[in-house]
Amino acid sequence: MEENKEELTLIIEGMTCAACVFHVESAISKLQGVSKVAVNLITEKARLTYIPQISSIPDIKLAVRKSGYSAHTENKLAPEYGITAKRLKTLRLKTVISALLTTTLILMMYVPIFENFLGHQKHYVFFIITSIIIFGCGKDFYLSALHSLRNKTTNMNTLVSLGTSVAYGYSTLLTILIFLDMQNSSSHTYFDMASIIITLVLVGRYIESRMRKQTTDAIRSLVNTAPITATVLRDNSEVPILADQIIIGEIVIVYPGETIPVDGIIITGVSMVNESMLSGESMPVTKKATENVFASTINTGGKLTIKALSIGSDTVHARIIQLVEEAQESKAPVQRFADKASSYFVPIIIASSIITFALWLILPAGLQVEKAIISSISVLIIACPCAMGLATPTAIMVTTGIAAKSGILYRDAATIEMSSRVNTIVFDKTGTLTLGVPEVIEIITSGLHSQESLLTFAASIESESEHIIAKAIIKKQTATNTPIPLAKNVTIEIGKGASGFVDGHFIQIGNWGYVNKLDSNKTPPFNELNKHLAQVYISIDNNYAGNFVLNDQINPRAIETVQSLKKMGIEIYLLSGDHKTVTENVGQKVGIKNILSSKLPHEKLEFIKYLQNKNHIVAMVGDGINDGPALMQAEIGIALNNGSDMAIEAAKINLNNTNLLNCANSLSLARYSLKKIKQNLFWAVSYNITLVPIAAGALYSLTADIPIPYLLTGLINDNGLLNPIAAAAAMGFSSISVIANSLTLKRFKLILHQENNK
Amino acid sequence: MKIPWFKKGTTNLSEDLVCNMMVEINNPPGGKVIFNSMTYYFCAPGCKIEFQKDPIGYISGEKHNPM
Repeated sequence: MEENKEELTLIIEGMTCAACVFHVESAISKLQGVSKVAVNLITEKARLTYIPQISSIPDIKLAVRKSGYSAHTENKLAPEYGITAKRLKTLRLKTVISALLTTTLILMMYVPIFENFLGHQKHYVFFIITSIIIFGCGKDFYLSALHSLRNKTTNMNTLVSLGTSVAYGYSTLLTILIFLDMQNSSSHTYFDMASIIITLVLVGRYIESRMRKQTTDAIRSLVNTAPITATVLRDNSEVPILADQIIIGEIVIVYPGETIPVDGIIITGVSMVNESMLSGESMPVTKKATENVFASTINTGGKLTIKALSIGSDTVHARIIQLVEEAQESKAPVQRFADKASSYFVPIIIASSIITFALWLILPAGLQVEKAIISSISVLIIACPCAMGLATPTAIMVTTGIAAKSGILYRDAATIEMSSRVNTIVFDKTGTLTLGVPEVIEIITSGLHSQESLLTFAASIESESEHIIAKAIIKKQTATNTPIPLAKNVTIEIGKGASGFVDGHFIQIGNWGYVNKLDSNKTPPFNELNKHLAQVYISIDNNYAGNFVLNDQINPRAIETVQSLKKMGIEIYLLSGDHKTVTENVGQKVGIKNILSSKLPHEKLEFIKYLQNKNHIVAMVGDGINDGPALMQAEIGIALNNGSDMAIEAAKINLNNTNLLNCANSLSLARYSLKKIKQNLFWAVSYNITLVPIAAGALYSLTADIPIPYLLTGLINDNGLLNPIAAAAAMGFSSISVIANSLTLKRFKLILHQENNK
Repeated sequence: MKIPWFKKGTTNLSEDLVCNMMVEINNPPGGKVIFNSMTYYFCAPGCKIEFQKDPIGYISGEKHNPM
């Protein structure tokens, strides 16, 4: 049945805390044919694999609805992240109405003029206003709590509903008794308490929702870069169409300032293209005919005609987004624990509240119904499972978002957690610390000609060659800013060399055998390092004139990368299949002391295992092509990719190869992120551990006998107990502070390349 | 297609495999490329550079860029 499995993403509404996540996950998981369920509180999405023949989409939606939440399928054209604008607006409206009504209520209750004006009718007015607040603005809390109750589960809303119902129920009962003249009309009711709690929780939830939306800013801005319309060439005329109607192979026209809608190859035109959304590099790249361009990059220069090669979800940009989404919806091991703990949390709090109530009744202080009610309400209200539920996902969300924008793709949340613990990094040489492109590092002359003239002669001949070494020689010459004379009668012998006439001299460039055709017994001049490097020899008028020594070009950011990693206290190794002298030369240049050379792929793997046995947590950096096994073996495999292939399976972290510094950035961002997660969890747990007992009245013996200053009565009632209103504010503050702390991750400073830092 | 440079009585002409022009092998304007011991002649350096990118493609006739 493997081939029938399909993936599905549902938008889940109504989740407020980690316990909700747990309930939705278990409701869906219980269905047959459904596997790999991951529910995310922040994106409000459930991602799952299912077999349509066994469980259909309506079945899954029904299961979610039965668990007390609602589910709908995602709109592919306009994917949503987190709370929708419409829901945010509704929430704001409810919050404002609730706040206005509550203010009116407080004025009536505590300003003597109103109180006198209303007389003993006041309780009925309070009852009406509070009922509007509870059943109008706070309706969702009660509905959600009821849904959960029906499924024998609990969540954040259960606590809010219980707490406010106790206050509201008790006050309503008093009002009825007053109405029936069975109670003195001067009795104190708690309508204000219920209203203020609902208002504060609404305010808290509104701020929280807005902030949660901010945590998905980065991913949203990444998604929104895809253009909606495009211009294609059909029957020799330019036709504007919707971007998703482009056919593979079609010619797309992109004018300056427009966003490229497809991955393709340039047919005509030269332009500067801003690829920052893929690579994180802000400098536009020059692109000309036969070069590849990618969807969602911006054409900042001239008009381009592009042949579409990949469209829609097959483009590099779409694959990156998918990878980021998967990472955001995955769960860090630390979060699985928090989710599970949260599902037990609410029942424990309800039990604590009942115990608190009972204790206040049976304690030696006597039958203190009022104190029992107040403290049990406080316990219910102050407990905040939300903070625990939000601790990890908010941080992961912000982290993956800013990482993706900088060209770093984490495979999942567990990768971030593991990356933060990396203490050893192993670099492969070619394609990472070096660019894998040769450069001329030395020109040796036999003494007959100057280095400059050798270079000019060579460049002149090589300008008609396509060889990679020819390009290195021309690059070296171009840097000198002297003109290249025109060569005549150039003959290229593929695999050997090239010859021709420059300024009347017969020049030959190539391997030793090619240049010394007549005297092949001669041996080329060497030094210890050069022996293992590529050499190109040059002869002028059939006399050996010198040679060019080429080496793999050092990545311009290698030195900074190594320095940054050292600053982080990470042990660095260089592992290469190349010869000792060559590897050591590179190691020395970039500042790595631990060097292992002449290693075959399986020996690289063994070395990683060796480090792991010595309790190192290893990150391996490779180009992802020939380091597969070592990348897999390391705790964190970091693959440097070129723009077209940003998702190498073997790697846990994929980086764009234009910025090696992201090796250091990816690890330091992960460390920072985990620091935030730990702070969040510590805060959430210690908040509950400290404040729940205080709410229950643990400090009563301290506060009972001291006079409470008037200003502090909002915090502590005149009877020495925590004011349930303060409890509601504290709860909101707790969630908000966790999100705010996660949002500070946005301030993370990436290590940037210093142009003048050579 | 341009008319190839043609000299009466000479037979030492070769085809530029990139643009299909005929080139005199004694003095090819674009020079020569020796590949697998065979020599190929070109009308201009541009054709020669093009040829080096995919010699087998041009030799097999799979590829050609008529001007």
